Order: sequence, then C-alpha cells, then structure tokens
Amino acid sequence: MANEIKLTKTDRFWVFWNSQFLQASWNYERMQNVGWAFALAPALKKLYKTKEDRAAALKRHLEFFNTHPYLVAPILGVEMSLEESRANGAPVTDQTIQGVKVGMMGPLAGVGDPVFWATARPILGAFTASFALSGSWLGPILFFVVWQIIRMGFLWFTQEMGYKQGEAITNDVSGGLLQKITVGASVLGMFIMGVLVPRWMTMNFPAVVSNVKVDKDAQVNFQPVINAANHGHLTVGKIRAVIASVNAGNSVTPTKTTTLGDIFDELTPGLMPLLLTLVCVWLLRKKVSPIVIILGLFVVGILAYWAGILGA
Amino acid sequence: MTDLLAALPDVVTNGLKVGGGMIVAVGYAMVINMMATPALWPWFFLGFALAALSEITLIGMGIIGVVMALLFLQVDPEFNKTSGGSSSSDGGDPIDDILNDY
Repeated sequence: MANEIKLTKTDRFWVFWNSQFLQASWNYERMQNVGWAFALAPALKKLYKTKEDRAAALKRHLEFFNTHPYLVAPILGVEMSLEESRANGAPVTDQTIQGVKVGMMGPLAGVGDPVFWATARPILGAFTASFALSGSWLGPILFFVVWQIIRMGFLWFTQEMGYKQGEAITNDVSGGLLQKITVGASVLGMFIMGVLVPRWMTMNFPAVVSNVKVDKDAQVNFQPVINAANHGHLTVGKIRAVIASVNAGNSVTPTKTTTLGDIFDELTPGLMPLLLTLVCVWLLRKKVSPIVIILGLFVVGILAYWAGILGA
Repeated sequence: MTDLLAALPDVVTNGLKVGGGMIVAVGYAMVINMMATPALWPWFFLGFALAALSEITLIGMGIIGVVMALLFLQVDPEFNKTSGGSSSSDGGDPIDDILNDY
C-alpha cells in the first residue's frame, strides 16, 4: 500500500481548471466528450504511467457525455476517485465508470438549468442591474465578479464533495459496496440512456400523409363573429362561443392535415429516435466503423430532406 | 470559404442539418454497447417508455432510476446468497423450504 498513487489537491485543481472548457470542442456525435476527457486528463496522467494505460484511460473517457457545464463538477469528482482506485488495483470496471457517469449526467443536467440559468443568474442580474440603473459603474463589474465567484466556487466545492464521496465508496475494504455500485450504476445508466433517447434527440417528419376535409359540424364556426365584427356589434358571448367550440375539439382549419410525424407520435413519441439508436447499436456490433455510420447518416439526411420525409 | 458554403444548394445544407441531428444516435449506441448486458436491456426500454409517454422531468427520472437500482440490489440473488440460512438450498424463503421438503 506504500506505493499507492493518490490524487493531490494540485491534481484536483487542474481538473477543476480544465473543466471550465467543457463545452469547447462540442460536437454533434458525442457532445461534451472532448471537454470531459480534457478536464480529466491531468488526473489520468498522474494515475497512469505507461503510454498504453494513458491512451486506454483517455479513450474510456471519450465516450458520449453531456450535462450542465457547472454540474459536471460532482461527476468529475466521483469519476476521479473511481479512476484512482482502479489505478491502485481495485476491480473498477469500464461499466462502473460509464454507468456512474451516465447515471449522474442526465439528472444533473436537469438540475442545472432551473437552478443557475432560471434562478441564480436572473436574481444576481436584477440586483446588479439596479446599480447600473442608478448610474453606478459598479453594476456590470459586480455582476461579473460575483458570478465568477459563484461559478468557480460551485465547480471546486462540488468536485471536492464528489471526490470525497467516491473515496468513501471505494475505500470500503470488503469490496461488497463497490460491487453493488457497479450493478446499481449499470441499472441506472441503462435506464437513463433509455430516458435520453426520446428526450435529447428529435426527428421531424413533415411529409404530409393525408389532407382530409373536415365535416362542417366538426369545424369551428367563425361566421357569427366575423359578421358581428364587420357590423360593429361584437359581443363577448360570440367570442366565448368560438373559444368553447375550439375547446370542445372542433377543427380550426377546413382540412385536417396528418403528417408522417403525427402517425409516429401516435404509435409512441420518440419511436424513430429509438429505432435509429437500435440500428446504430446493431451496426456497431457488426463491426461497422462509426465514421461510416456517421457519413451514412449524412447521406440519409440529405436524401430524406430532398424527398421531404425528414425536416430540419 | 464563405463563398463555397453559399454556393451549396439548400438541399445539401439543410440535409446536413438533418443528418447532424441524427448522428448523436451513434454516440448513444457506443455508450449502450459499452454498458449493455442482456440482463440490463429491460431497464433501457423502461426508461424509454417512461420518458416518451410521460412529462416526468429528468430529475424525476433520476430519482426513479436510483430507487429502482436500489430495489434491484435488494432482490438481486447475486447479493443475497448468504442472507438466510447457512446452505444455499435453505434460503430465507418459506415457500422455497416447503418446496424443498416436498
């Protein structure tokens, strides 16, 4: 145990520092994966000494990743402690590392937006804007400085918190806890992947399948309102009648247009993203290179857009 | 470069946009291939069905996922081998005992 490698505060500081560039190199295929690997790189470099081990570690962390740019910190903390125990010989598998990452990134992405973008920032903005309105130059400066304190403080402290929590798990000597985390994280990870498929991927199918003429009785009758308005005696009652008719489910347009997307949604929303994902899973297992699949998807995209099946 | 991009027909630029929206599926597929075992696939479809057919937020989904992972750990036979009696045939399940005595 004497030659156990430990991540020092300095190592963790550099991970924190790099994590600020999470969204640089954002890409459509794996989103924040490069930023994530870049953030973790100082820790991985410390933990693994040979070129092969370092390459394998970086590769492991170049998988798909996407979350809120601030809430990435606790995930980094936990993953650092997992990698630390792995480097010291603990049986931390790729599945554990991946499962914990995916399991945390989805829900935390959901936490970040309401807390930071919808609450903290507007409050600070309103507060400092009142300075600016009263003619003080302190407003914008205060906004910038305080926001940086909130942002960097949050990044650092939640990263430390995640690291300490992760250590508590991996230090459990019996190994029973780690084994349970592995299974639990895989369950959570697969569950969240299932959630993200329909939530983070949208496909539009604007192709019109049918244009059905709606029966006169099933249409909203605008005539009374138009007549009344043109003759200058529009009453609330006439407007209410129209709104009630709309609420009752009558059609606003004389024809009912059904698109391909409507039909897919009727089956199950997100059905097409699911099928596309499963096809990709299958192709990857058939040893088709991801580059080929991506190029193929671009070709499919252009052809389907040209044919009017898929819309931007 | 800008001239070159402007020279591209709309079908190509918009088609690339459509393709760009789809290639995230490759990223998902790689993560799934890394984690998936036959025993884990049901969780994937459960997550999909809940997300597609309900308005539950991602935070709510996280809570559901954690709860189910914990419940699964409690019933997973992998972790309950020695919880009841001393031998494997004599588990804590009374129905199991009755069936064994039969």
